[in-house]
Amino acid sequence: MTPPAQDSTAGAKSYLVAETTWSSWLMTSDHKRIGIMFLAATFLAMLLGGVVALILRIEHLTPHHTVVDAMTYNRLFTLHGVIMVWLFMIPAIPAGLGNFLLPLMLGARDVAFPRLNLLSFYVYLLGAGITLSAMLMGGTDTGWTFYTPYSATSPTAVAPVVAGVFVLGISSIMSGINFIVTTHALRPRGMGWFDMPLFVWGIYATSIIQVLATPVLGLSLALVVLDHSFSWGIFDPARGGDPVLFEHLFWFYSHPAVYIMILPAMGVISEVVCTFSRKNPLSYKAIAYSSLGIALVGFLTWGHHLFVAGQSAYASGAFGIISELVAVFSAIKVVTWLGTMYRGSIAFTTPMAYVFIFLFLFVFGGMTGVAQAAMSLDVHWHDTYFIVAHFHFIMVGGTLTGLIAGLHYWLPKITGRLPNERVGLIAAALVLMGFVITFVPQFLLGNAGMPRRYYDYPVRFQALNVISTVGSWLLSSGILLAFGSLLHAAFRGPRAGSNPWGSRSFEWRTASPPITANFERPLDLVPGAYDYSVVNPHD
Amino acid sequence: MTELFAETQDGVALAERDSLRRLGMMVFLASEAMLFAGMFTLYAAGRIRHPQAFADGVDHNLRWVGTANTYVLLTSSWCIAMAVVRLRSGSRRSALLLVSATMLLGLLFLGLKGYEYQWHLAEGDGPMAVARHDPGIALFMGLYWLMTGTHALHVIAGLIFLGYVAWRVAYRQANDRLLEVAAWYWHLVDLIWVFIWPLFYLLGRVSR
Repeated sequence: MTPPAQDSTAGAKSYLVAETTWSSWLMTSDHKRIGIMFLAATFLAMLLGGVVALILRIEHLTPHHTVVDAMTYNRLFTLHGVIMVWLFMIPAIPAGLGNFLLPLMLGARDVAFPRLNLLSFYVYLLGAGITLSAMLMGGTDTGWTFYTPYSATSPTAVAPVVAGVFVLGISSIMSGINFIVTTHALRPRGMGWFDMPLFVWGIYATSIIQVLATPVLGLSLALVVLDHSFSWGIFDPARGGDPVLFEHLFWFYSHPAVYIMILPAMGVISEVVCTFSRKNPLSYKAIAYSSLGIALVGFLTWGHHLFVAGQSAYASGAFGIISELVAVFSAIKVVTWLGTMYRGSIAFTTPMAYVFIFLFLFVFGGMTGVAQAAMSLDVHWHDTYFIVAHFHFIMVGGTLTGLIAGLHYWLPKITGRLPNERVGLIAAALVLMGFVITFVPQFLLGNAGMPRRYYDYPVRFQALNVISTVGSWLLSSGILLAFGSLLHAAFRGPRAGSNPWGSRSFEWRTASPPITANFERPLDLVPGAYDYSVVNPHD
Repeated sequence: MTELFAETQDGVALAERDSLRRLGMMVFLASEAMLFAGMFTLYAAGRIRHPQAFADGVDHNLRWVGTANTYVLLTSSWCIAMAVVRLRSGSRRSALLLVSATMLLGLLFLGLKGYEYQWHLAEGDGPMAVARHDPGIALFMGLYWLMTGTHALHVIAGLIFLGYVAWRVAYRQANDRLLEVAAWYWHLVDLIWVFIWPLFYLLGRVSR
């Protein structure tokens, strides 16, 4: 192991201390600093969205009025969805961890367009500002999906929320273009596509979706604003428009968007599994191709959100079958991860604990997705709490656990300090318990017929709702403990050395934290990123 | 090896920067294409539902403006393509003349477009008045303002981009690669108009 970071880099200072002024952060074009700023911004968004979630759960402690009135409830669940989807989950892993790691994993100095990268951060802030400014105008009550015709007529502040999300989309496209070009053009000579660390495949597949699907979201949101502000009626049947058309355009983006959230998390899992099993992946190509497969098939599944919207039964059948394909690709990944662990030398660290949580929640939630993609079952579950539980299992259970795993795993890379294992494992246990207690009752509630987005419910649903609310307290304390421990370790943790986990992946072949230019010497591509069969000359 | 490394360390050597820009522009154009693909989808859905109203709407537009603008943009695309060829063969001066011609044609396009917008406004058909029409026509006029408006914004963006590149070529010795990337963008804007032209100016009920 190498001595502390600053000494190991022979003169050049780490990117954290090379410059320390405010402007050296705010005007930086260093992908590492931009990545950290994205992580910080998305973390704040998660806290805000989380507080709203807690209020929503407390409201459901009793059937009728508990703490907020019905109108406020509608505005709060909209706010929760908008913040968590667009301000937190879509940018968190790609623009945060992805920004930090992509050039390091490719042995590059920076992303392809560093200034565009910084611009994408400020566009994100602008979009977040516009979106959240709606809170001062009383918020909006359409739900995060902005379904027409209601969103075109709602008297609440639809326009700023929708316009803000439009701006966030521009930021997302900028990141996507940057990452695609970086992956194509900045690999060093000698690094082929199948030599890249698997996380890069996850980010690359995500970027394809960001670049090709986000414009369609932008279009549909712009039209909602025009309908709302000028009564154009593009989606208003009374004026010759078609509200279902909005659903088509919206889900053409927003279904692939769930793969924007999960694919980078899957990339994190691939890295963590290989490092802590000290093995090459069971099949590198299976993981790489299934990432692309999910991204591409994801473009053809949007219709499963329209099973009860009057879509033709043939279209629904086709969309259902194509949707099941996503489960096939996901299963390939899960089997490959398990096969990688099989006979590996597993180190049960905090990141690895989150991998197991991810696998449990993702497989469980994924199974419910398989069931829902079947038209006959979905008609029963449509718009119930079953759906809410399903997508929280995938998104929170997938994206959030992937993010926390990644933050523990790469904390030494980012800060040069080690996270606290004991606190990390306790937090992981809390997250798992809290998560299961929060969302399993919601499956039962939905199956029993409790609709989503309703303020009120019959008394017979109260017991399960109370359990779910208590679970949300456990879950949030687990998340707070995890992030609190990470923040503490980032400033006060023990020094890590350049490669504390003994990983073979390329980002560990330079100092931790890296120097501003990333690498002192050209990245040595031998041994490969997952070759644990030889002694690592870089240790 | 050290030389190669110096290249990557300094971010990107000049030749590599060109290839990054080309790839970046290609990916961006794919993104732009998806934006307009969404609009063409809306048009198709509207036209299938209201064939008569859409045909009437087409007859309501100024066909000569749309047609003239098609020639204007196609000519401008030829100019910018030739500008790239000229710059590649080293004649900076004639390349700059051709870029200027492209930009003038772009301005002419906007002028004609503005004339048509003015004509619609004078008829009381502005973007704020869409809701006053009968259902099908309202949809057509909404799409007209949306699609031609978004396209016009792209023409303006293209003009700004071309102006910047022309400045780089004239005073900063920029090479033909940068101009080529700008030309690609201009070609896409032109290509989109080639589809807007029949949908809003030709496929009417009356053949003139």
